[in-house]
Amino acid sequence: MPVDPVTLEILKNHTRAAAESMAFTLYRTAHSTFVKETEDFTTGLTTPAGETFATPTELGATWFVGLNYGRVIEMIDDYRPGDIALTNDPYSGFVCTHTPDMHIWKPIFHEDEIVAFSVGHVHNTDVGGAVPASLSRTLSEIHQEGIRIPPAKILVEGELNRQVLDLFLTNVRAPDQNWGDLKAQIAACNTGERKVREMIERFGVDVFREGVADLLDYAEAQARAIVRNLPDGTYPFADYMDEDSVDGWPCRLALTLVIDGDELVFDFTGSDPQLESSLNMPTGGDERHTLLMVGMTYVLYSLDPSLYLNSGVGRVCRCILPSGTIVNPVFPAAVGMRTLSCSRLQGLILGAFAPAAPERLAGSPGSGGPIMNVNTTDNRTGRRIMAAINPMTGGAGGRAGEDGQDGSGANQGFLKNTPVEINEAEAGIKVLRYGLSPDSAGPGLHRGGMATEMRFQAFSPNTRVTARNRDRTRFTGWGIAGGRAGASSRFIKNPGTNREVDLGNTDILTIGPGDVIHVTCGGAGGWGDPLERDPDAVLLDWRRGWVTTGHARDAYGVVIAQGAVDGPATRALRAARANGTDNRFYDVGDECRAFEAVWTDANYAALTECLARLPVHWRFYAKHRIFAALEPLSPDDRRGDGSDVRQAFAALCAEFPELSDAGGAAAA
Amino acid sequence: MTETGAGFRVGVDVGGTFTDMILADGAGGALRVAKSPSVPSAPADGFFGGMDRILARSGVAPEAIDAVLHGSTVATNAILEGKVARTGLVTTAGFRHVLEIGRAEIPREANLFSWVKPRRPVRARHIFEVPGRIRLDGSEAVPLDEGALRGIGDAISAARLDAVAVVLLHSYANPRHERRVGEVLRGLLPEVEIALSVDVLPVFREYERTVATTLNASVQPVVGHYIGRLAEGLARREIRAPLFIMKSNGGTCPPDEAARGAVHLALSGPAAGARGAAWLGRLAGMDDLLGIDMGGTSADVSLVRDGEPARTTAGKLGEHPLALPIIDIHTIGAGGGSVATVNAQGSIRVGPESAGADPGPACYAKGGTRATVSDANLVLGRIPPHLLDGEVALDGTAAERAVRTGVAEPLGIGTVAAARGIVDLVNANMTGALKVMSVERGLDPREFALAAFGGAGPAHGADLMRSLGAGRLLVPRYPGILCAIGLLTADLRYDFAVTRLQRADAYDPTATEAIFAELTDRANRRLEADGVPPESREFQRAADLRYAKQGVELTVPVTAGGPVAEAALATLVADFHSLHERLYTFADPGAPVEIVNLRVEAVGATGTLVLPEIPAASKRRPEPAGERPASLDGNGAATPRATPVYRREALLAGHVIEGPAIVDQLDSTVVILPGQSALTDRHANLVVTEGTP
Repeated sequence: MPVDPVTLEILKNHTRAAAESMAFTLYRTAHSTFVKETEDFTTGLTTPAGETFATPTELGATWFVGLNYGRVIEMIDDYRPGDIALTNDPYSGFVCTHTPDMHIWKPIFHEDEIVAFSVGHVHNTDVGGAVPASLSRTLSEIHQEGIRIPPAKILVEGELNRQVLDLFLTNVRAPDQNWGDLKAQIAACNTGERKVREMIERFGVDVFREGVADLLDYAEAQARAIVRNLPDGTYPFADYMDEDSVDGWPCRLALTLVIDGDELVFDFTGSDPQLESSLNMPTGGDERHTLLMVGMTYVLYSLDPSLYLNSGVGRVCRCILPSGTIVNPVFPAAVGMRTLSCSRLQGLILGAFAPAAPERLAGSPGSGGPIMNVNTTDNRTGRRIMAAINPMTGGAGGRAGEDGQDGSGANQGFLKNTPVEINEAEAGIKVLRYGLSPDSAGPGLHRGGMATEMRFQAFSPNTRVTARNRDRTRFTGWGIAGGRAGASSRFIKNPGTNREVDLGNTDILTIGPGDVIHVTCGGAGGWGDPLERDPDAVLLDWRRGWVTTGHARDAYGVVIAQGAVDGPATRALRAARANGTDNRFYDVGDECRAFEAVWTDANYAALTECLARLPVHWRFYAKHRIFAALEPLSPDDRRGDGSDVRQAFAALCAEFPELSDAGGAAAA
Repeated sequence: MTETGAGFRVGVDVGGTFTDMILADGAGGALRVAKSPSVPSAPADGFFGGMDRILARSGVAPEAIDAVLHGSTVATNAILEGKVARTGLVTTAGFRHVLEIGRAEIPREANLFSWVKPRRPVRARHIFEVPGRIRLDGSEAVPLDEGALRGIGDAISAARLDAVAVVLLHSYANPRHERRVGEVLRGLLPEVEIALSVDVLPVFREYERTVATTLNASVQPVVGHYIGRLAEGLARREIRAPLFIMKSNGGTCPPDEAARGAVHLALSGPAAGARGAAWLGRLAGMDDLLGIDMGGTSADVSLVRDGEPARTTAGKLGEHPLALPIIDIHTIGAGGGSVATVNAQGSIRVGPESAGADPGPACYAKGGTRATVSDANLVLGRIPPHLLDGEVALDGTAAERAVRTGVAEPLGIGTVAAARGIVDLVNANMTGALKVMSVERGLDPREFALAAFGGAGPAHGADLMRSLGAGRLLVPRYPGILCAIGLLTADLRYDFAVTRLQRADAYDPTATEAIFAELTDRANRRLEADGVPPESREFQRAADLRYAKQGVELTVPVTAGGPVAEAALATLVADFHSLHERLYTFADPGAPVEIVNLRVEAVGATGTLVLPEIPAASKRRPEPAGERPASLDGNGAATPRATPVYRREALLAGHVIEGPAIVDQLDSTVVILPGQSALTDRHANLVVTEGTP
């Protein structure tokens, strides 16, 4: 029997407050700066089957509302009161999605029965492995990404399991931090347990159980109502990461969105084969994996901010995730940098929905900005310091009626920056500049948001700088509905000196005393034709120092002279430009356009089809060979209909007898 | 009749709609309260409207007034409505966008893609960079480029700015550059108001410091002008008594300080309310108190411990972070005007949307048609069918219709059940807010009394006491004027702080003592200037501590007396561990603890109020004035039944009322649930407990 609406609403408030309270406990007790300042953690309550029904809305990474702990819960066969289990292994149950994320769960008993689990994760600054902070694109198998603990009890009936703890802490670089964060997680789980007990005391166990089921159904009903209001159709979209490995080829994420009544299908066929770098997203083929649900949740919540967020939302959607691809890699593919691919994936989903609701959705969020770590020596004490200094963020995409927000926004919006004064105190660096990057916003009638940039100096030899998740040096954030792509991201050593080095797509380097690093996030995409933007709005940006005179002219057709808009010159320039505009919905930027001229949809379809015939461990290699084969073709020789790809594939298969079966099929 | 005897103190609390006045002598002989409309367009007119009214009614002569105390929303409204001075900012070269970027993150519940960031106090084009750099240890890395300041001065003139904030990196460690910029700009721009971050908030985290300083600069001219008007008006009325203005920290300050530190007035009104609740609680022997001030659109929850309102340095004003010491207040959208809605999926919610004062609840018959909390209370008979003793009739039919069509029919339930649901939900929301202020802070509500005030608070206090499990409920005699009472009882109060990061391996008791001594010296000079005699001055030292690399600090009082030595710091650290344990369920005694900020809080004891006592009752049970059908307790199906109704002004000290009962008074209604009883104390407060007293 469904719970009455008033009681349900009160229960809803209680569940939310419980999750909030867990997050609050975790936040206030956590030790690492990373957790404190970036709030990369979650807390929540799940059903006995693992479906999340309550997550906080004010603290932490609040968008992982669809986490399902079911598979890891099942991996421990006996629960007793006071037990707490944990895992950070991405290949055990696919709840944890890279090794730094330590997930924990605690059964909550009523009498002899489990009525809920209190759960959560913290992103540990380091879990050992090949590189500090445990994450690098250069890694190619999971074994390099630090210690992995398969599901195990860290507390057994309330007693600490020292063996598991010691095993963990022995293998990490800053064990005090991990232990501090883990204690905060345990405290949060205990808070969750206490809150559930209070709810049961107040509502009775039956109302609690029924109510939780009703809350999931309720979120589902709301989500279905939103989807029903979107036009049915098939909406294909693709986006890229700059490289699939160090000095590699572009990495494609493709999505065909199908909207059908109140159901959604996300077909990821056409996405790249799993990579020999750590950008893979370990979903285990779960068609409602939380990594895939985040982008959808953003979209549905944008379309209706009254949407109640829990696992029920995900029930409207089903994903198709071909095995052995970046969206469903097989062991032992490295997955550490999935944050980058996930961020791109969220943008991809937003982009796919955009043509279905262009008046209500935005251009690409600013992206490609790294999370920066510095590992240096304190000259005063001689001690090594490791600190996460800042996430570099972009703005939000432009949308109907409004410019994108500057320096903050969209799907990186939950990342808090670290104050300059704290960075200098904790990281042993001097920050020379922290600000918005001029001309970074994607032009549009409503431009994208400005990206942030930072410049800092090191004072010790052997200072290691990690710029995790850097991207968008080549493939920029797309504009929609006539809006233009944002500027590319940048990473430069010693800018403006004769020792200047453009670091391209590098994400880790060692610098010395006096060296200066400059880093910029990629800009967000614009919305609507920039030639229709109010010249005074362009002038205002120019006065703020956000748009240069040249960019005002080139991107907006606005001529600024003597601190004012030159009206006649602007009108003349805009009139001359107007003919040249095209009508494509997406503007992906010059680099991407040039790339897609070679790598057409047809070529990618052929590639997908050919690679699918190969064993998984051959696919990445084969992709690289085929890309290398197409690279030297002159524009006149390219056909772009897939035949170039098939030809290269056939040649490859001919070269290796191991592939003769697949090659024969291609020739046929 | 002219009242005689010197020593009258006047409190004037100017709120958004009404101005509340209180006038009291120092002996408990007289207490007068009055209400007049505020004048938002000319706040000083509202102030003097109220002042003239209470003086005329009481017949007190201007020369008989000892002190004028004032709670003001001038700074609050100016900031929230953006009606502030054209303000510029001078900051360290390389960091002119810090204010625009903020902490980069979006409020959690906001829509990620359509969120619009709050407008900053300073426009991006009015931010100027000056070369020069102080390191975090206070040493100079790059000398200040004074030449550049001339150009900045010209630019400020050209932009016709009225106020300028100066915020340089690490100025808390060494304010020399910042002060020099201030000097030079004052010389160049004598007409422009200037605020330095080292004066407003000399602690680290540049964005929060910049917000506080720019807000200060932007309201300085507004507050300065307003205070000028007050001074003129008081002089014209020949009131020569000193004027004290309520600050967000729960203390008062004289006008010069208010004008200079204008941002400290941002939460003047709510702070006075919390102060009033604390004072009344102490009077009633309740030193640990949760206060809920429920009005038409929102409810403010405050916390009182050991007779003092709790304070925080992590507050907010609108969407601006306010890292100054302020009274800790948690506000939610729950009031008499909160609207109940049912959505397409059959889910009901109450608030935060409010029908406000116009059109107001349906029962006000001013055109409102949506069901509100007041409508639900009326349907249930919890409030009388008229307000202000019959001056305002409430439309019961309209209330019933609004609840029926807005909630009952969409949910397919009865009107009384729907009304009950609305009351239950708003109570649940307020209980949640009360828990945030108690349970979330590691406090057990059973050890606290609940004070319910504001116009709507007393009708919900009994439910809230029960759902929270609070020990007792205190309903003041005049629930609507607690802020004014807070004014008369507030002391002068100043907070001095500075950041000096001390790592666990390098505590420096000598330097710590030197800083405390310097802060205390400043505090002493300030209280001296205010004319507070030395025996009335009190200083409390405190420090903000954290575990190494923790992102937030806890403020811990220094309990050891005398100059700080190693032992005092050891005690401080031990106290930090205990506080951490209490707040967050664990401490980590092995972990390194950093001392971050040092604070001195200075109090000049000036507050005084003696409430008159009411006569004692000759018998225990008062006579009810009548009865009306009402449904008071939480059974959704319960139909209203005859419930005794008492008149508040007829209650005498010692009277006990057993629930279910209702106590009507001019501006409020008190509900007492079945199983509860209410004792009237000698100051006419109602003290409600479960069971019989």
